[in-house]
Amino acid sequence: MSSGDKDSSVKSTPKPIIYRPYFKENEETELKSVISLISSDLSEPYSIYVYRYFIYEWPNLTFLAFDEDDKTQSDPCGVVVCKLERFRGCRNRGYIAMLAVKKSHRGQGIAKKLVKMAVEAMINLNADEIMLETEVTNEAATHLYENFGFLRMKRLYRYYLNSNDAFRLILPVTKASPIMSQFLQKDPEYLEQQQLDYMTQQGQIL
Amino acid sequence: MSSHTPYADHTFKNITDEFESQVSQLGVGELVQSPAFTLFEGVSALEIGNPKMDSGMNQISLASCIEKLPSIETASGALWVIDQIFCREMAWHQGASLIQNVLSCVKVEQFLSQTNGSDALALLNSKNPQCWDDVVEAYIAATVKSISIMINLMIEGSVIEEEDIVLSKYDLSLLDTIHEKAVVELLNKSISWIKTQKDQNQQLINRLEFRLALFCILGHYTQNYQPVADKNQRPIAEDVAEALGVINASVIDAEENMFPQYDGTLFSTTIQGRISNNAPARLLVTVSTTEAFRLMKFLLEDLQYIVNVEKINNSAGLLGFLVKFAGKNEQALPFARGFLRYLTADISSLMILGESCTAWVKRDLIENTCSTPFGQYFLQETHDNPEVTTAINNFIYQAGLCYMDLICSTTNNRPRQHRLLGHAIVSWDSLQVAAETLEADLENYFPMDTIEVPDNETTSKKTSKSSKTEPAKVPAVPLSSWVYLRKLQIMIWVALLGFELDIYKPWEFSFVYWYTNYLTTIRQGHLSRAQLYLVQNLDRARQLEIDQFNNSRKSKQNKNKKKNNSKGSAIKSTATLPTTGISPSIDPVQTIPAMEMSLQLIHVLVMEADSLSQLSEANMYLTAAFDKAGLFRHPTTIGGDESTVRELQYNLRLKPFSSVGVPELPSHAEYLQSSGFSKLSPVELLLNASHMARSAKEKIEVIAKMVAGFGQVDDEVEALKRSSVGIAVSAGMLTRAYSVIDTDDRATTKELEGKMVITKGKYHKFFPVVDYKA
Repeated sequence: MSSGDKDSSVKSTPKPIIYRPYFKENEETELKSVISLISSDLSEPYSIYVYRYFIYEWPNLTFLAFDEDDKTQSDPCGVVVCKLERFRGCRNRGYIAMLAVKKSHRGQGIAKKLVKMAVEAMINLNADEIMLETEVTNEAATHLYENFGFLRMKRLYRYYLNSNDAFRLILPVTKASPIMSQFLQKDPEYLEQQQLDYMTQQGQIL
Repeated sequence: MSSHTPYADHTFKNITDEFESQVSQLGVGELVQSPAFTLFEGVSALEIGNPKMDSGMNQISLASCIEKLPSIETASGALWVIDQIFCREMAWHQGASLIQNVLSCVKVEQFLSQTNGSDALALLNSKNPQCWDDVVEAYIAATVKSISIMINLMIEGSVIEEEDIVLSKYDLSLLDTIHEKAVVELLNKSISWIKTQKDQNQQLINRLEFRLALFCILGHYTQNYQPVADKNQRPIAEDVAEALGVINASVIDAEENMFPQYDGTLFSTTIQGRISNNAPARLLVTVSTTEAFRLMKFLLEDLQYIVNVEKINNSAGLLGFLVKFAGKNEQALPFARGFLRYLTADISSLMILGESCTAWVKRDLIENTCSTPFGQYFLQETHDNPEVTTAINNFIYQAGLCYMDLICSTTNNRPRQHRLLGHAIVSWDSLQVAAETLEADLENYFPMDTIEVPDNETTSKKTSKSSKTEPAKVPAVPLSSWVYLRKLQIMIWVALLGFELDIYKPWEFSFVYWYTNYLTTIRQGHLSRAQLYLVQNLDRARQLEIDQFNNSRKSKQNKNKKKNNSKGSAIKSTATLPTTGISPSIDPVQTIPAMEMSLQLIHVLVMEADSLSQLSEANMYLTAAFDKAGLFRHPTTIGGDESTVRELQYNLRLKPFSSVGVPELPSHAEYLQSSGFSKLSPVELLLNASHMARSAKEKIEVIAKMVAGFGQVDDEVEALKRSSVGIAVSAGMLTRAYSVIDTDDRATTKELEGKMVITKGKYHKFFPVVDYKA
């Protein structure tokens, strides 16, 4: 997945922006506006099914930004789409799949705010770590994430269709993040506690 | 003959009514899914009707594309078309899929539509070039066939599909079942025809001769064809040199000329909608003519280097060759890496350069720590006790697999190498446990070899000044010692490759270099231990050789006619030597040449480890000083207090090393304490950096002189030297910046207001230099 955000620094006085989670009940209009915003911005062509997968399964981890003037909140100026699931049966891994801000709204810290909301939401859902990929050439996006403490863990050769490499970045949240899966998988106490936390959290969401 | 018919008329069933009827039963936002097809599976689906996804949306028949093509009337027209196809071929080598380049040529597709689903061989044999279009068609046949062979070689050479290059042929037969000979005949017929024309275009002949030369190289892989009879036994290096000669001549005459009459008709995206293709619509990709010839020249030069691998017969040489190629050629084209892998290692039969990986691993063991009589005894095929034989052979097999993985990792692209070597740390750590267990178990069967530890290391243990006991002995453990050295080397590579791949942020530099220095220092110490073990064994063997010589002379003087008892006397002498575990079947004198070779190798490795250790330390102090001067931006902390977050980041960064038992990864607290950065001011850190960089430079210069002694200039060594100089200069610049603000106070901890710049290009990729800009 890639990030089309070019917004790393606040350049002008921020306009009033309203942030809110995705409204699943407004699926028909909400999804269209998210697709429209992201597809105009990203290098990768995503099918409708990609959006369906993320937003239908984790609607609570998609956040939108709107101009205060947009009273109907039908035309988002920024969006972040994420997911959170068990990874190798031993840790909860959050994933930032897409981040986009309209060109006209860049430089106002919207991306930063959206990422912060997403990261905090995933931490509240017991994420052990949060992961994403970004184009090596997209310095603005890389800096944005690195300022939150994400570390470049891997370089992925020719990861994107445009042949660019990607960095895989990870934000460690708990002590489980730096431990190799093969060792976590052998720790029954840890696994039991993790499963319990996860199930409890999932129950609260549903 | 191919029976595949991708161009046959397809008939489709219209399901529109049935589909609409089913869809009408769904509500808004409702989705259909089954356990076998969930939303996750849907992620890879193509969206019909989406112009970015659906390549079949603007389908046009091939016939209508062909209709628009003007015929080729001149030699220069043919040359232009051929060069355009060549440009697309090189774009494929760079990673774009065939439908974006070579197959997008309407003439190529036209040719394939004839050969797919018909008797391609008969068709090729019936061709008899009579016009410029026919010459282009012969070139297309050669291009298509060589791509087919290259794809097979790259699959065998474990080139990573999609990541390095797209190997899909989209269900087309690229003359797959046709012998190269038929294509070569067609090329030769074309060359003959050109020579009968008024316009005997030499450039055009060059292009066709290049395809012939390429078939000579590929013939070494297919092994079923040597295009020219008198070249049957010609070494591959000569074939590569010939192809390079032709391409060099072509580079000179390659022109970026244009033939407007072909604009927009020769290449088309429409093939994407006509053939078996499950990829989203993709743009056409090409490179300039100049770039195409440069890339092919670059590829052939790589092949010219690569073919030398077949001459290597020692492990240090093989690893050195592969590591050097991997380091120098991070931009090497996938075919070159695939070719190297194909020549070097066959993972299915566990063979390296025609020998089993276990033979190679034994060679590596002997070259490093097992050249001693005990080591060589250890590695014998069979031992008196079958349990011992089985235990040792099991270990050698496991070691062979680890060695094989190490060899194979070097032919991958650089980021994948980094990942594979990271995984190798775990397997080599397991191997070390296996080696230690084996050596402990074998103590039950025969006495193990030992190293005599110098007096000064054991003085404290002595109870009496007068006691003239023998020096203390520690187990030599040559097997686990070998594993440890290799494992440490891999760990150091993994740590340092992160700098080359731009994975670390500047604020991480100091602790990664601190850890690298920790590893290199341990490796240096362990190499010294191995050196001591070899020296002691070599001394004993040489003494034995002298004894043998003296005994033999005495025997002659005594006119003893039993001339053949020298071996017996050697064994007798061995029994009196202060060593253990030597089998009578290994004559220590016979191991002298191997031990001398090992010592030479270990000596070079010690010097290398020493310079890497000091260079790491120098950059560690330099970057710590920059950090203290406030010139590195640290991330904000989210989800915890600062010290917890810093500890998490430290542990995550060093995660690839966390599984290692020995040397255990130091904790964050241990790092903070042992690095001592908190107690030193920036100026003091810079003094240390400067001192270490100068010392590293001296050591690197010794290595450079040694390399120069062999009449070579090693680019890697030169780059290391530049890094050492760069670090010293940078430390000087930052020190001066401090002297401006605080002339006398070395202990000042003031932060600077300038900025830092990281320079990479001119320095060693593992040791970039941070510079201060006021």
